[in-house]
Amino acid sequence: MPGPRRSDRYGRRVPGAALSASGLGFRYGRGPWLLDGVSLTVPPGGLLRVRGGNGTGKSTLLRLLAGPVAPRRGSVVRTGPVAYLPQQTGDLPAIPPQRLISLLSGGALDGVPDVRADELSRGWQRRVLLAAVLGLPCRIVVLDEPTAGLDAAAVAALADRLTARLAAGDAVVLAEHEALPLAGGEVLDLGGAAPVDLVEVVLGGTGSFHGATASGGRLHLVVPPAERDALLLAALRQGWSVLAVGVHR
Amino acid sequence: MSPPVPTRRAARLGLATAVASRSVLAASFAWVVVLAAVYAADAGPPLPALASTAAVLLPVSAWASAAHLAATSGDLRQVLTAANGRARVLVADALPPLGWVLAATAAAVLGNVVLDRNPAPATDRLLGLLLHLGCGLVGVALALALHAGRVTRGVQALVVVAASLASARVAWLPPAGPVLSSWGAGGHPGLLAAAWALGGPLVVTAGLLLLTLRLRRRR
Repeated sequence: MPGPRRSDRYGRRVPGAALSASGLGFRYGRGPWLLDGVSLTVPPGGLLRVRGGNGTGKSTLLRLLAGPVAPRRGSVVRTGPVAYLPQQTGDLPAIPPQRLISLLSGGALDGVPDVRADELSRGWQRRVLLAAVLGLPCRIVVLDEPTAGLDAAAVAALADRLTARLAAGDAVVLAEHEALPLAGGEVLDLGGAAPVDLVEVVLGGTGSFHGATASGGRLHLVVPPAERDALLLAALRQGWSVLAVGVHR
Repeated sequence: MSPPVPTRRAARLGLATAVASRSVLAASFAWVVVLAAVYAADAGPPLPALASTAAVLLPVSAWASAAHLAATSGDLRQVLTAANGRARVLVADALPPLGWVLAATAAAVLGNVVLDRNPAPATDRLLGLLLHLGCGLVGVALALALHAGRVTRGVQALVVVAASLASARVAWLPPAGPVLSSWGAGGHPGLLAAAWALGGPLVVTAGLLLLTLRLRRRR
Protein backbone atom coordinates (compact mmCIF):
# COMPACT_ATOMS: atom_id res chain seq x y z
CA MET A 1 0.00 0.00 0.00
CA PRO A 2 1.54 3.31 -0.97
CA GLY A 3 2.25 5.84 1.71
CA PRO A 4 0.32 9.04 2.21
CA ARG A 5 3.10 11.03 0.56
CA ARG A 6 6.76 10.84 -0.14
CA SER A 7 9.37 12.21 2.18
CA ASP A 8 10.28 15.87 1.84
CA ARG A 9 13.81 17.07 2.17
CA TYR A 10 12.91 20.46 3.50
CA GLY A 11 9.18 20.01 3.57
CA ARG A 12 6.43 21.59 5.62
CA ARG A 13 7.66 22.20 9.12
CA VAL A 14 5.93 20.87 12.15
CA PRO A 15 5.78 23.88 14.48
CA GLY A 16 8.59 23.66 17.00
CA ALA A 17 10.22 20.61 15.39
CA ALA A 18 13.69 20.37 13.91
CA LEU A 19 12.99 16.85 12.70
CA SER A 20 9.70 15.03 12.52
CA ALA A 21 8.43 11.79 11.07
CA SER A 22 4.91 10.62 10.56
CA GLY A 23 3.69 7.07 9.98
CA LEU A 24 7.10 5.81 8.81
CA GLY A 25 7.14 2.39 7.25
CA PHE A 26 9.96 0.53 5.57
CA ARG A 27 10.75 -2.90 4.25
CA TYR A 28 13.49 -4.25 2.02
CA GLY A 29 12.05 -5.34 -1.32
CA ARG A 30 8.91 -7.37 -0.70
CA GLY A 31 10.07 -8.61 2.70
CA PRO A 32 8.27 -8.08 6.00
CA TRP A 33 7.78 -4.57 7.28
CA LEU A 34 10.80 -3.73 9.43
CA LEU A 35 9.26 -0.48 10.60
CA ASP A 36 5.63 0.49 10.44
CA GLY A 37 3.72 3.45 11.76
CA VAL A 38 6.66 5.15 13.49
CA SER A 39 5.99 8.80 14.30
CA LEU A 40 8.27 11.12 16.23
CA THR A 41 9.21 14.74 16.70
CA VAL A 42 12.56 16.15 17.79
CA PRO A 43 12.57 19.84 18.73
CA PRO A 44 15.61 22.11 18.45
CA GLY A 45 17.87 21.26 21.38
CA GLY A 46 16.06 17.94 21.79
CA LEU A 47 17.68 14.54 22.25
CA LEU A 48 16.07 11.32 21.03
CA ARG A 49 17.62 8.00 22.00
CA VAL A 50 16.58 5.08 19.79
CA ARG A 51 16.97 1.74 21.50
CA GLY A 52 16.10 -1.84 20.72
CA GLY A 53 17.55 -5.27 20.16
CA ASN A 54 19.48 -6.41 17.12
CA GLY A 55 17.44 -6.34 13.94
CA THR A 56 14.65 -4.18 15.31
CA GLY A 57 15.28 -1.45 12.77
CA LYS A 58 17.28 1.17 14.69
CA SER A 59 19.76 1.76 11.91
CA THR A 60 17.06 1.68 9.27
CA LEU A 61 15.06 4.26 11.20
CA LEU A 62 18.11 6.53 11.44
CA ARG A 63 18.80 6.20 7.73
CA LEU A 64 15.21 7.20 7.03
CA LEU A 65 15.47 10.17 9.39
CA ALA A 66 18.83 11.28 7.99
CA GLY A 67 17.85 10.91 4.37
CA PRO A 68 20.03 8.32 2.60
CA VAL A 69 16.96 6.09 2.28
CA ALA A 70 13.41 7.17 1.54
CA PRO A 71 10.55 5.62 3.53
CA ARG A 72 8.13 3.29 1.76
CA ARG A 73 5.31 4.78 3.82
CA GLY A 74 4.93 8.03 5.66
CA SER A 75 7.10 11.11 5.55
CA VAL A 76 10.10 12.76 7.15
CA VAL A 77 10.38 16.53 7.47
CA ARG A 78 13.73 18.14 8.24
CA THR A 79 14.37 21.81 8.78
CA GLY A 80 17.84 21.57 7.27
CA PRO A 81 20.64 19.24 6.25
CA VAL A 82 21.67 16.42 8.57
CA ALA A 83 25.05 15.45 10.01
CA TYR A 84 24.73 11.67 9.86
CA LEU A 85 27.08 8.99 11.15
CA PRO A 86 26.18 5.62 9.61
CA GLN A 87 26.48 2.43 11.57
CA GLN A 88 28.76 0.52 9.21
CA THR A 89 32.35 1.62 8.86
CA GLY A 90 35.43 -0.03 7.52
CA ASP A 91 35.42 1.13 3.93
CA LEU A 92 37.05 4.52 4.32
CA PRO A 93 39.05 5.54 1.24
CA ALA A 94 42.80 5.05 0.93
CA ILE A 95 43.68 8.70 1.58
CA PRO A 96 45.23 10.38 4.64
CA PRO A 97 42.62 10.73 7.40
CA GLN A 98 43.34 14.44 7.90
CA ARG A 99 42.68 15.03 4.20
CA LEU A 100 39.45 13.07 4.48
CA ILE A 101 38.23 15.20 7.39
CA SER A 102 39.43 18.38 5.72
CA LEU A 103 37.63 17.63 2.44
CA LEU A 104 34.44 16.52 4.15
CA SER A 105 34.02 19.16 6.80
CA GLY A 106 37.03 21.46 6.67
CA GLY A 107 38.06 20.41 10.18
CA ALA A 108 40.90 18.44 11.72
CA LEU A 109 41.51 15.80 14.38
CA ASP A 110 44.50 15.68 16.68
CA GLY A 111 46.55 12.58 17.28
CA VAL A 112 45.47 10.54 14.26
CA PRO A 113 48.07 7.90 13.33
CA ASP A 114 50.03 8.83 10.22
CA VAL A 115 48.63 6.12 7.95
CA ARG A 116 45.94 5.98 5.29
CA ALA A 117 42.33 6.12 6.48
CA ASP A 118 41.63 2.56 5.31
CA GLU A 119 44.60 1.28 7.35
CA LEU A 120 43.41 2.80 10.64
CA SER A 121 42.06 0.60 13.40
CA ARG A 122 38.29 0.30 13.65
CA GLY A 123 38.23 2.67 16.61
CA TRP A 124 40.26 5.33 14.82
CA GLN A 125 38.18 4.98 11.67
CA ARG A 126 35.13 5.62 13.82
CA ARG A 127 36.76 8.66 15.40
CA VAL A 128 37.80 10.05 12.01
CA LEU A 129 34.32 9.67 10.56
CA LEU A 130 32.78 11.06 13.73
CA ALA A 131 35.09 14.10 13.64
CA ALA A 132 34.18 14.73 10.01
CA VAL A 133 30.46 14.36 10.65
CA LEU A 134 30.42 16.54 13.75
CA GLY A 135 32.37 19.19 11.84
CA LEU A 136 29.54 19.61 9.34
CA PRO A 137 27.55 22.84 9.78
CA CYS A 138 24.22 21.06 10.35
CA ARG A 139 21.65 21.77 13.06
CA ILE A 140 20.39 18.18 13.05
CA VAL A 141 22.74 15.41 14.18
CA VAL A 142 21.88 11.74 13.66
CA LEU A 143 24.43 9.26 15.00
CA ASP A 144 24.14 5.49 14.71
CA GLU A 145 25.86 3.80 17.65
CA PRO A 146 28.51 6.51 17.92
CA THR A 147 30.29 4.91 20.87
CA ALA A 148 31.01 1.62 19.08
CA GLY A 149 34.75 1.07 19.07
CA LEU A 150 35.56 4.21 21.06
CA ASP A 151 37.60 4.21 24.27
CA ALA A 152 36.36 5.89 27.44
CA ALA A 153 38.17 9.16 26.80
CA ALA A 154 36.68 9.44 23.32
CA VAL A 155 33.23 8.63 24.71
CA ALA A 156 33.58 11.37 27.30
CA ALA A 157 34.75 13.86 24.66
CA LEU A 158 31.83 12.92 22.46
CA ALA A 159 29.39 13.36 25.34
CA ASP A 160 30.79 16.82 26.07
CA ARG A 161 30.58 17.83 22.42
CA LEU A 162 27.00 16.63 22.06
CA THR A 163 26.03 18.34 25.32
CA ALA A 164 27.36 21.61 23.89
CA ARG A 165 25.47 21.13 20.65
CA LEU A 166 22.25 20.35 22.49
CA ALA A 167 22.73 23.50 24.55
CA ALA A 168 23.24 25.44 21.31
CA GLY A 169 19.85 24.25 20.07
CA ASP A 170 20.86 21.42 17.75
CA ALA A 171 18.59 18.39 17.54
CA VAL A 172 20.33 15.09 18.23
CA VAL A 173 19.14 11.55 17.46
CA LEU A 174 21.19 8.59 18.70
CA ALA A 175 20.84 4.87 18.19
CA GLU A 176 22.53 3.13 21.08
CA HIS A 177 23.22 -0.27 22.48
CA GLU A 178 25.48 1.10 25.18
CA ALA A 179 24.04 4.33 26.53
CA LEU A 180 26.05 7.47 25.87
CA PRO A 181 26.44 9.41 29.12
CA LEU A 182 24.19 12.32 28.23
CA ALA A 183 21.63 13.81 30.54
CA GLY A 184 17.95 13.56 29.64
CA GLY A 185 16.43 12.88 26.28
CA GLU A 186 13.40 11.03 25.06
CA VAL A 187 13.68 7.29 24.48
CA LEU A 188 12.14 5.51 21.51
CA ASP A 189 12.28 1.80 22.23
CA LEU A 190 11.80 -0.40 19.19
CA GLY A 191 11.62 -3.50 21.38
CA GLY A 192 13.44 -6.75 20.98
CA ALA A 193 15.67 -6.32 24.02
CA ALA A 194 15.14 -8.24 27.24
CA PRO A 195 14.06 -6.05 30.17
CA VAL A 196 16.93 -5.12 32.46
CA ASP A 197 16.41 -4.86 36.19
CA LEU A 198 19.90 -3.78 37.23
CA VAL A 199 23.05 -2.74 35.43
CA GLU A 200 26.58 -3.65 36.47
CA VAL A 201 29.26 -1.06 35.74
CA VAL A 202 32.97 -1.82 36.03
CA LEU A 203 35.20 1.22 36.33
CA GLY A 204 38.97 1.38 36.11
CA GLY A 205 40.94 3.60 38.51
CA THR A 206 41.83 4.08 42.13
CA GLY A 207 40.10 5.66 45.11
CA SER A 208 36.42 5.89 45.95
CA PHE A 209 33.38 6.71 43.88
CA HIS A 210 29.63 6.45 44.44
CA GLY A 211 30.13 5.10 47.95
CA ALA A 212 32.45 2.28 46.95
CA THR A 213 36.24 1.88 46.91
CA ALA A 214 38.26 0.43 44.06
CA SER A 215 40.13 -2.79 44.58
CA GLY A 216 42.93 -3.93 42.29
CA GLY A 217 42.32 -0.98 40.01
CA ARG A 218 38.67 -1.90 39.50
CA LEU A 219 35.43 -0.67 40.95
CA HIS A 220 32.20 -2.68 40.56
CA LEU A 221 28.89 -0.86 40.88
CA VAL A 222 25.32 -2.10 40.46
CA VAL A 223 22.69 0.53 39.67
CA PRO A 224 19.17 0.76 38.19
CA PRO A 225 19.14 1.32 34.42
CA ALA A 226 17.71 4.81 34.87
CA GLU A 227 20.79 5.88 36.86
CA ARG A 228 23.34 4.39 34.50
CA ASP A 229 23.87 7.38 32.20
CA ALA A 230 24.34 9.90 34.98
CA LEU A 231 26.69 7.53 36.82
CA LEU A 232 28.85 6.96 33.73
CA LEU A 233 29.02 10.66 32.97
CA ALA A 234 30.06 11.48 36.53
CA ALA A 235 32.65 8.69 36.54
CA LEU A 236 34.21 9.79 33.26
CA ARG A 237 34.41 13.38 34.44
CA GLN A 238 36.20 12.28 37.61
CA GLY A 239 38.83 10.46 35.59
CA TRP A 240 37.56 6.90 35.86
CA SER A 241 37.62 4.72 32.77
CA VAL A 242 34.65 2.55 31.89
CA LEU A 243 35.82 -1.05 31.56
CA ALA A 244 32.45 -2.74 31.14
CA VAL A 245 28.71 -2.09 31.30
CA GLY A 246 26.36 -5.04 31.36
CA VAL A 247 23.29 -6.64 32.82
CA HIS A 248 23.63 -7.57 36.51
CA ARG A 249 22.95 -11.28 37.06
CA MET B 1 20.96 27.35 0.46
CA SER B 2 24.57 26.22 0.05
CA PRO B 3 25.21 22.58 0.95
CA PRO B 4 27.24 21.73 4.08
CA VAL B 5 29.80 20.00 1.86
CA PRO B 6 30.33 22.06 -1.31
CA THR B 7 29.87 19.89 -4.40
CA ARG B 8 33.33 20.80 -5.66
CA ARG B 9 34.86 19.57 -2.39
CA ALA B 10 32.78 16.38 -2.51
CA ALA B 11 33.97 15.76 -6.07
CA ARG B 12 37.57 16.39 -4.96
CA LEU B 13 37.06 13.77 -2.27
CA GLY B 14 35.94 11.31 -4.96
CA LEU B 15 38.85 12.28 -7.18
CA ALA B 16 41.37 11.87 -4.34
CA THR B 17 39.90 8.43 -3.65
CA ALA B 18 40.13 7.43 -7.31
CA VAL B 19 43.72 8.65 -7.61
CA ALA B 20 44.76 6.88 -4.41
CA SER B 21 43.12 3.62 -5.38
CA ARG B 22 44.37 3.79 -9.01
CA SER B 23 40.99 2.30 -9.86
CA VAL B 24 40.71 3.72 -13.37
CA LEU B 25 44.21 2.79 -14.54
CA ALA B 26 43.10 -0.43 -16.24
CA ALA B 27 40.28 1.25 -18.16
CA SER B 28 42.59 4.11 -19.15
CA PHE B 29 45.16 1.65 -20.43
CA ALA B 30 42.48 -0.21 -22.39
CA TRP B 31 41.39 3.05 -24.01
CA VAL B 32 44.94 3.79 -25.14
CA VAL B 33 45.15 0.27 -26.58
CA VAL B 34 41.89 0.82 -28.51
CA LEU B 35 43.19 4.07 -30.01
CA ALA B 36 46.53 2.47 -30.84
CA ALA B 37 44.78 -0.45 -32.56
CA VAL B 38 42.54 1.84 -34.63
CA TYR B 39 45.36 4.11 -35.76
CA ALA B 40 48.14 1.52 -36.06
CA ALA B 41 47.30 1.26 -39.77
CA ASP B 42 45.39 3.55 -42.11
CA ALA B 43 42.13 4.17 -40.26
CA GLY B 44 40.40 5.59 -43.32
CA PRO B 45 38.44 8.86 -43.37
CA PRO B 46 38.37 10.56 -39.96
CA LEU B 47 34.60 10.50 -39.35
CA PRO B 48 34.09 6.71 -39.67
CA ALA B 49 37.20 6.17 -37.53
CA LEU B 50 35.90 8.57 -34.90
CA ALA B 51 32.45 6.95 -35.00
CA SER B 52 34.07 3.57 -34.32
CA THR B 53 36.13 4.76 -31.38
CA ALA B 54 33.09 6.64 -30.00
CA ALA B 55 31.10 3.39 -30.02
CA VAL B 56 33.90 1.66 -28.09
CA LEU B 57 34.01 4.50 -25.55
CA LEU B 58 30.62 3.36 -24.18
CA PRO B 59 31.86 0.16 -22.49
CA VAL B 60 35.26 1.63 -21.59
CA SER B 61 33.77 4.70 -19.88
CA ALA B 62 31.30 2.43 -18.08
CA TRP B 63 34.27 0.37 -16.91
CA ALA B 64 36.19 3.42 -15.69
CA SER B 65 33.10 4.77 -13.92
CA ALA B 66 32.29 1.43 -12.29
CA ALA B 67 35.88 1.17 -11.04
CA HIS B 68 35.70 4.70 -9.63
CA LEU B 69 32.38 4.07 -7.89
CA ALA B 70 33.60 0.79 -6.44
CA ALA B 71 36.62 2.57 -4.95
CA THR B 72 34.54 5.21 -3.19
CA SER B 73 33.23 4.70 0.31
CA GLY B 74 29.60 3.72 0.86
CA ASP B 75 29.76 5.22 4.34
CA LEU B 76 30.93 8.57 3.00
CA ARG B 77 28.23 8.49 0.35
CA GLN B 78 25.61 8.10 3.09
CA VAL B 79 27.14 10.98 5.05
CA LEU B 80 27.14 13.18 1.96
CA THR B 81 23.58 12.21 1.04
CA ALA B 82 22.29 13.20 4.48
CA ALA B 83 24.14 16.51 4.32
CA ASN B 84 23.79 17.48 0.66
CA GLY B 85 20.87 15.50 -0.76
CA ARG B 86 20.80 12.79 -3.40
CA ALA B 87 21.02 15.01 -6.46
CA ARG B 88 24.20 16.78 -5.32
CA VAL B 89 25.80 13.48 -4.33
CA LEU B 90 24.97 12.10 -7.76
CA VAL B 91 26.68 15.12 -9.33
CA ALA B 92 29.72 14.65 -7.08
CA ASP B 93 29.82 10.94 -7.97
CA ALA B 94 29.58 11.71 -11.68
CA LEU B 95 32.13 14.53 -11.91
CA PRO B 96 35.35 12.44 -11.74
CA PRO B 97 34.09 9.93 -14.37
CA LEU B 98 32.97 12.84 -16.54
CA GLY B 99 36.46 14.28 -16.24
CA TRP B 100 37.78 10.91 -17.40
CA VAL B 101 35.40 10.96 -20.39
CA LEU B 102 36.60 14.45 -21.33
CA ALA B 103 40.21 13.29 -21.20
CA ALA B 104 39.41 10.14 -23.21
CA THR B 105 37.53 12.24 -25.79
CA ALA B 106 40.41 14.67 -26.08
CA ALA B 107 42.83 11.78 -26.55
CA ALA B 108 40.62 10.23 -29.25
CA VAL B 109 40.19 13.46 -31.22
CA LEU B 110 43.82 14.50 -30.85
CA GLY B 111 44.89 11.01 -31.85
CA ASN B 112 42.72 11.31 -34.94
CA VAL B 113 44.13 14.72 -35.81
CA VAL B 114 47.72 13.54 -35.42
CA LEU B 115 47.53 9.97 -36.73
CA ASP B 116 44.79 10.04 -39.38
CA ARG B 117 46.36 11.67 -42.43
CA ASN B 118 43.20 11.49 -44.56
CA PRO B 119 41.89 14.95 -45.39
CA ALA B 120 38.65 15.97 -43.71
CA PRO B 121 36.94 19.22 -42.72
CA ALA B 122 37.26 20.39 -39.14
CA THR B 123 33.52 19.87 -38.68
CA ASP B 124 34.07 16.10 -39.00
CA ARG B 125 36.36 16.15 -36.01
CA LEU B 126 34.02 18.39 -34.09
CA LEU B 127 31.25 15.91 -34.80
CA GLY B 128 33.55 13.12 -33.67
CA LEU B 129 34.13 14.96 -30.42
CA LEU B 130 30.37 15.24 -29.83
CA LEU B 131 29.88 11.55 -30.61
CA HIS B 132 32.55 10.59 -28.08
CA LEU B 133 30.98 12.80 -25.44
CA GLY B 134 27.54 11.28 -26.09
CA CYS B 135 28.75 7.69 -25.88
CA GLY B 136 30.92 8.46 -22.86
CA LEU B 137 28.00 10.08 -21.06
CA VAL B 138 25.86 7.01 -21.56
CA GLY B 139 28.66 4.82 -20.24
CA VAL B 140 28.95 6.92 -17.07
CA ALA B 141 25.18 6.94 -16.56
CA LEU B 142 24.94 3.19 -17.14
CA ALA B 143 27.63 2.56 -14.53
CA LEU B 144 25.88 4.86 -12.04
CA ALA B 145 22.57 3.04 -12.53
CA LEU B 146 24.15 -0.40 -12.15
CA HIS B 147 26.03 0.72 -9.05
CA ALA B 148 22.82 2.10 -7.55
CA GLY B 149 21.12 -1.21 -8.29
CA ARG B 150 23.83 -2.95 -6.26
CA VAL B 151 24.36 -5.67 -8.80
CA THR B 152 27.58 -7.65 -8.66
CA ARG B 153 30.64 -6.69 -10.70
CA GLY B 154 30.11 -9.71 -12.95
CA VAL B 155 26.51 -8.76 -13.72
CA GLN B 156 27.62 -5.17 -14.29
CA ALA B 157 30.16 -6.36 -16.85
CA LEU B 158 27.58 -8.57 -18.57
CA VAL B 159 25.03 -5.76 -18.79
CA VAL B 160 27.59 -3.28 -20.13
CA VAL B 161 28.86 -5.74 -22.76
CA ALA B 162 25.30 -6.70 -23.77
CA ALA B 163 24.21 -3.05 -23.97
CA SER B 164 27.29 -2.14 -26.00
CA LEU B 165 26.78 -5.00 -28.45
CA ALA B 166 23.05 -4.31 -28.77
CA SER B 167 23.66 -0.63 -29.34
CA ALA B 168 26.32 -1.36 -31.95
CA ARG B 169 24.04 -3.80 -33.80
CA VAL B 170 20.67 -2.05 -33.59
CA ALA B 171 20.72 1.01 -35.82
CA TRP B 172 18.18 3.05 -33.83
CA LEU B 173 19.48 2.21 -30.33
CA PRO B 174 21.61 5.00 -28.79
CA PRO B 175 24.34 5.75 -28.29
CA ALA B 176 26.36 3.63 -30.73
CA GLY B 177 23.69 2.42 -33.18
CA PRO B 178 22.65 5.76 -34.68
CA VAL B 179 26.28 6.94 -34.65
CA LEU B 180 27.55 3.95 -36.60
CA SER B 181 24.60 3.81 -38.99
CA SER B 182 24.85 7.53 -39.67
CA TRP B 183 28.60 8.02 -39.98
CA GLY B 184 30.26 4.62 -39.59
CA ALA B 185 30.34 3.97 -43.35
CA GLY B 186 31.20 7.53 -44.27
CA GLY B 187 27.67 8.41 -45.42
CA HIS B 188 25.74 11.63 -44.97
CA PRO B 189 22.66 11.05 -42.82
CA GLY B 190 19.45 13.06 -42.93
CA LEU B 191 18.66 15.71 -40.36
CA LEU B 192 16.42 13.46 -38.27
CA ALA B 193 18.97 10.63 -38.14
CA ALA B 194 21.78 13.04 -37.24
CA ALA B 195 19.65 14.64 -34.54
CA TRP B 196 18.82 11.24 -33.04
CA ALA B 197 22.47 10.19 -33.19
CA LEU B 198 23.44 13.27 -31.18
CA GLY B 199 20.32 13.68 -29.02
CA GLY B 200 19.63 10.00 -28.35
CA PRO B 201 22.58 9.63 -25.95
CA LEU B 202 21.32 12.62 -23.97
CA VAL B 203 17.85 11.05 -23.71
CA VAL B 204 19.31 7.72 -22.57
CA THR B 205 21.64 9.47 -20.11
CA ALA B 206 18.76 11.42 -18.57
CA GLY B 207 16.71 8.24 -18.23
CA LEU B 208 19.55 6.36 -16.59
CA LEU B 209 20.22 9.21 -14.14
CA LEU B 210 16.55 9.29 -13.13
CA LEU B 211 16.70 5.52 -12.63
CA THR B 212 19.83 5.98 -10.51
CA LEU B 213 18.14 8.54 -8.26
CA ARG B 214 15.13 6.25 -7.88
CA LEU B 215 17.28 3.24 -7.00
CA ARG B 216 19.33 5.25 -4.49
CA ARG B 217 16.15 6.25 -2.64
CA ARG B 218 15.46 2.60 -1.86
CA ARG B 219 18.78 1.63 -0.31
